[in-house]
Order: sequence, then structure tokens, then C-alpha cells
Amino acid sequence: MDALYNFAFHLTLDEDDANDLVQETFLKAYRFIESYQQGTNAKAWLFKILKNGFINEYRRKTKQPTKVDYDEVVSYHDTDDEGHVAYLDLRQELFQGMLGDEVTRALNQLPVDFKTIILLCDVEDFSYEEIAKIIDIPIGTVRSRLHRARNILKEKLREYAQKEGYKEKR
Amino acid sequence: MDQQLPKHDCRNFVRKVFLVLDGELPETERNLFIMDIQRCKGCLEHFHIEKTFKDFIAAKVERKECSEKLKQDILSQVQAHPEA
Repeated sequence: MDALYNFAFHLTLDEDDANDLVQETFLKAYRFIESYQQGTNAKAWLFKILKNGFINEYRRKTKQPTKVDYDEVVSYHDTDDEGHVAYLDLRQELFQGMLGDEVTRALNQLPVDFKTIILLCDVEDFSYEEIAKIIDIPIGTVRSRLHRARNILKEKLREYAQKEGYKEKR
Repeated sequence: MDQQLPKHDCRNFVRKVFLVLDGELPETERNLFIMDIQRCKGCLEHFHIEKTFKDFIAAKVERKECSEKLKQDILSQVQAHPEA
């Protein structure tokens, strides 16, 4: 339940909203328990219910569909054949001195789709297949979105580090 | 060892590095990848940077815990509507 609450909190950034979302998730899961397929990952099923609940509430509040970042449809393979320059490198010396608060703040500033995928992969350790099921996207999109999300997070951390005077050794 | 491996290609590293770090490759393929990158200082260095970054995110992102009150509230609601 802690993992679910943690996910809810990072999505909503509000303790009361996270409480409501987790509560709603468990009640829905209980009500629709027959839709759970035995032998599949129950944690992933609960995360999917929570994510759908969040999206519905988000749509209701904003009265508009979630914004889709069409850039991410650019396939991973179209962008990865430039060698080492194809992704952002954040030197170890740069980020090792950073505090948890700074990293959490940078993560929470990401667009929700990117924040979600980093939470599911790097924090909750779901496989690409599980993530694809939780957020209803193809595995190829999981890869490309994760790739972009990590690069954006690195960029935010780099900007933060430079602002705070961390020295970059290149 | 090198004789069993194809010529090193840094593009192959970029294609696979996150699959390796995210545990998405079978063990044999993962081991081949690890052996392959030992032959390129740049790839090896980038691999360690990416691994450190992934570990860093997992370790540093704040993890919120669910309150006992919320757990009790959920339990009470489920018990109050056992037919739901």
C-alpha cells in the first residue's frame, strides 16, 4: 500500500488527493475483483486502476483530454544511431552531491507522462511489459518515453546543479 | 574472449544500455553486452554513469508512506460493504 500511496502522491502532489486516490483505487479493486486475472501481477493491476483514476480526475478537473506529446512517437531507433551523442550524460560528480529533495523536486516538475514512467521503472522497478499494461501504451513507446523522460530529468538536474554551483568535469 | 564477439559498435551500446540496466535483456545477451563494452573506454564509462544515475534516482526520490489512518479507513469501508 505504501508503493501505491507513493505513486499517488507523486502524481497529485497533494496528501489529501493522494489519500482519496488510494482509497478509491482499493474500493474499485475490491468491487471489480473478478476482473483481476489470477497469476498476473496484482501490484501492476492496482497501479493501473490508480493511474486510470488519476487520469479521469485530471480530465474532469481540466475538462480536457490529457495532453499527448506527439514527439514521443519518434521511434527509439530513429534517434539512437548517433553514438554517444544521442543521449544526455550527467557526470557522476555532478549529481552525487545532490539531496533527495532536489531530485524529488526535479522529478515532480516533469510532465505527468514522463514522471509516471520514471516512477514505474526506476522507483517501482516494473518491467517494460508491466508498464505498457499499466499505462496502455506499446512497449516501444515505453522505451522511447523512458529515454526522453530520463534525458529531461537529467537536463533539469544539470540546470539545477549549474545554478547551485556544482562543478561539471568534462 | 574477443574472438567470440563481433566488432564493437558504439551504436549497439546506445541501443542496449537501458535494456541492460532495466533488466530487459536475457542473461546471456546481457553478459555479452557487458563483455563487449569492456573493449571501449567510452562505452564503459557511459555505462557506469547511466547505472549510477538509475541507482541514484531510485535511492533519492522521496518515498511517501501510507498513513495508518488511511489503511484503517480503507479496511473499514471494505468491511462496511462486503457485498460490493
